[in-house]
This record gives sequence, structure tokens and C-alpha cells, in this order.
Amino acid sequence: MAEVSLGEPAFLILTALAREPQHGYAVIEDVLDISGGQVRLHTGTLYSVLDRLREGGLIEVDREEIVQSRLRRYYRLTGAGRERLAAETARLRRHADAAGARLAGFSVHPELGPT
Amino acid sequence: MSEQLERRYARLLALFPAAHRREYEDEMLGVLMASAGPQQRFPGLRETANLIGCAVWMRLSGRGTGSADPRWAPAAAAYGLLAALLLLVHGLRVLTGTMLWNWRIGDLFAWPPLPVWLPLACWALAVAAAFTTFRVVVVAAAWAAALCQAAVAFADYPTWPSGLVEGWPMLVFAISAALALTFCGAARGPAVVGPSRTLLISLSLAPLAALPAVEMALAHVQRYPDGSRLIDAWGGLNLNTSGWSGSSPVAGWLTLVVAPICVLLLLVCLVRLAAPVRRRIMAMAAPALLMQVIVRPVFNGFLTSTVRFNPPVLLQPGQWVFLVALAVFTFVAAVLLVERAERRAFLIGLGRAAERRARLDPGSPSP
Repeated sequence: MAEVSLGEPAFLILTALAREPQHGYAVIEDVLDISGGQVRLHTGTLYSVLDRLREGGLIEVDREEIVQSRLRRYYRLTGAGRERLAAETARLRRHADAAGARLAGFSVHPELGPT
Repeated sequence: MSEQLERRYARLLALFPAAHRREYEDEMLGVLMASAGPQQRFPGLRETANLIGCAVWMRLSGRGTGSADPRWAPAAAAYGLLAALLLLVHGLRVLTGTMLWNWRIGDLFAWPPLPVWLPLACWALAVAAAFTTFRVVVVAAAWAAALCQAAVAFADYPTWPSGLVEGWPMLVFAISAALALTFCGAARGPAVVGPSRTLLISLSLAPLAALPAVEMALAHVQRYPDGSRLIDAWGGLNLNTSGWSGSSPVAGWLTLVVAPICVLLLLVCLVRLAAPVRRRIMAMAAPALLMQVIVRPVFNGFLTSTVRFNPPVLLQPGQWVFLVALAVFTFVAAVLLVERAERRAFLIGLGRAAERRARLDPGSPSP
């Protein structure tokens, strides 16, 4: 059976962590950057998704620091997380390619919009 | 200023389940404070809505709801399931008994009004969903049922206050069931109770649900020329039963023989549950049980006098406080009692183990 889609926030978080281990606030900034300013994760959503990803074994704690008397935890992708991100990327690419091919018939380019 | 903002964020984070807070609260506060503007004093509207939404979703979906004592969640799931089953049985007894009564005595078949069948339908949905993984449906159906019962009782209160007082134990029971199903986390009632025990409990409750209808259907009705009716239970014996499990206008040999067997079977199933689960179920049931025992004697004067006035006398603020506070106090006291008794049993166990070790190995330090 096909795996359930990750959802946009989880996909973007995994993408952010694919470069290097990051802490919560850095993940929010990185997701904003990756999405071209389109997706700003709220803190509640971020930690709900991080908890789900940790429980699913897709990410794990890399290290912990105390910064200004507060715990700062860095998260990193696990092997299963890398595989899942690759599978999800391939799935989304297939969908995007199919949509692009069909839009080509209408002289519409996904990157540029209608011409 | 930032301290004020931090306190306000901390208050919002308190809405999250305890286990989630233990794991992430510090980090979340750090991120929230880092995202805040330099002069910000209040949490942003979107951030607030997001935090509340995530906290509610986590609680409803059972994620991150581990409590300090992990034995409460399974017990709450078991209690929620059993209470929902009992409330369903009670509703069925009242509904089918009344319908059959109208049919046999009044020769009329009328579909019961919405306030009667809606809570029943919601409890049925909650019970059915408890056997699936649709936790949100269980919680929503249980609360819909409990709130329906409350709405009916409070709607009639200005004209019939004794109805609310007499029905208070059932209302407490319904709310306790909804609360238990809300806070049971990912635990599932049928899994905690066990499949065979759940089946046995359901089998013992089914006859109890059907008895009033069967008794009414089998009853002998005599009609007199002046239009009056005389009704005799099947077998000639007539018991007048009424109580927490719903009044049965006609009860005879069938009730006398079948009901005690079913109740006994139910009690055996409950007694054979794991001791920590059983103790916690008793603690959760304590408010409704206490209310059932004391409401009638304590409010006897009110119940007999209010009907003599038009408009009827309503409850005084002190009586409201008594009804609400006693239920809460009983629950808290029962929880503390369970915790204390188990702590004591744990310490006694430790002491005995140390004594045993000392006896077996005289060289080891004595306890």
C-alpha cells in the first residue's frame, strides 16, 4: 500500500533538516526561505510536526545546548527520514511533471503563469 | 516587558498535554520569544489561534497525552467505554419501555421526541466509535450526548426543578464519561478491558436494556368499559422498580430472575479487571455514585416542597455550589486516596523485598 502523504509542513521541515541539523527557530527561518516566503510555520505546528516525525523515526535529536538559560535542541534527519524525503520528492515530482505536461497543451508554463 | 510576554505564552502552552509540555515547553518558549518583536507585549492573534488549535488537536487525537502516572489513561479509556455503555443501556430502557407502555396502554405508537432519542443516538455512536480508531468521533459523540442531556434538564428546570435535581447523578455520570473519553489519550477502552470481557459485559447489558420492553410486550392488559386499564406483568408478579438504571413501569418474574444474573455477571467482569484499572474506575465513578446515594435524602425537603408552588421554588446558590463542588471534591479525594494507597502498597512491597533479601543473605545491609 502507498504511504500516506507527508503534508506540506512535514515535507518542508524534512527538507530544511536535509542540509544540516537545526534547532526550532532555524527550521522556521529555513522553511520560510525554501518556500520563497510563502510558508511561515507557527510554533504550535512546528512542534506538533517535529513530535510526529520523531515518533515516526524520521528525525532525531542531534544535540542539546543551553542558550540564555533555555534548552535548545538540534534535530537531524535519520536514514528513514532521508528515504522518506526522497520518496516524497519523487512522488511530488511525478505529479508536477504530469501537471506541467498537461498545462503545456494550454500554452501555460508553471514557472511563468499564462502567456 | 518580555517577562510579561513570556508569562502569557507560558499560559497558552499550559493548554498542551503534560507529556508534550515536558518534552517541548522550554524549546517552544524559546522559539516564541525569538519570533516576537522587540516591543511585543501580547502573543499575536495568529500565533495564539495556532497554539490553541494545536493543543486542542493534540488532546483530542490523543497525541502527547501521557500523564505523570501512565495508569490513569487506560483506566479512563475503560471507564469511558463502560460508562458510555451503561448510559446507552439506560437510554434504551427508558425509550423502549416508554414506547411499549404508550402502545400497550394508550394504543398509540409515537416516535419519541428529539430530546429523548438524540442523546441515545450519540451514546450509541460513541460506543460504536470506541471500537475503532476514530478517537475524535468518540469524544465528539460523548460530549454531544452529555450536553444534550444537560440541555434537556436545564430547559425544564424553570418549570420542573425537581427533574434536574433527581437527574443530577445521571448528568454527573454522563459528564464524567465524556471527560474520561476526552482525557484517555491514545488508550482504547476495548483493549484495556480485554476482548472477551468486553463481549461478556455487552452480553450482560443487552438483556438489561431489553427487559422493560420485553416486560411491557408480555404484560397482560385488562381494559374496562369505563376506559381504565389494569396491567399485570407476565407471570403474575408485579414489582415496581425505579432507580438509576431507569424506571420500569412493569416488572415481574423476568426482571426478578434475569436482572440479578446480568448485574452479577457485570460485577464479576469489573472485579476481574486489573487492580490499578479497577481502583481508578471506582475513583472516576465515585462522584456519580455518591450523588446517587445522597441527592435524594439531602434534597428531600426541596423535592417535596417545590412542586407545591406555582411557579416552583428554584435552587438557592448554596445548593448549586453543593451539587457542583461535592462532585469535584469527591473525584479529587478519590484520586488522592488511590494514589496514597498505591504509594503505601509500593513502600510495603519494597520493605518486604528488603527483608526477604536480608533473610536470604545475612551479610547484606539490613533494611
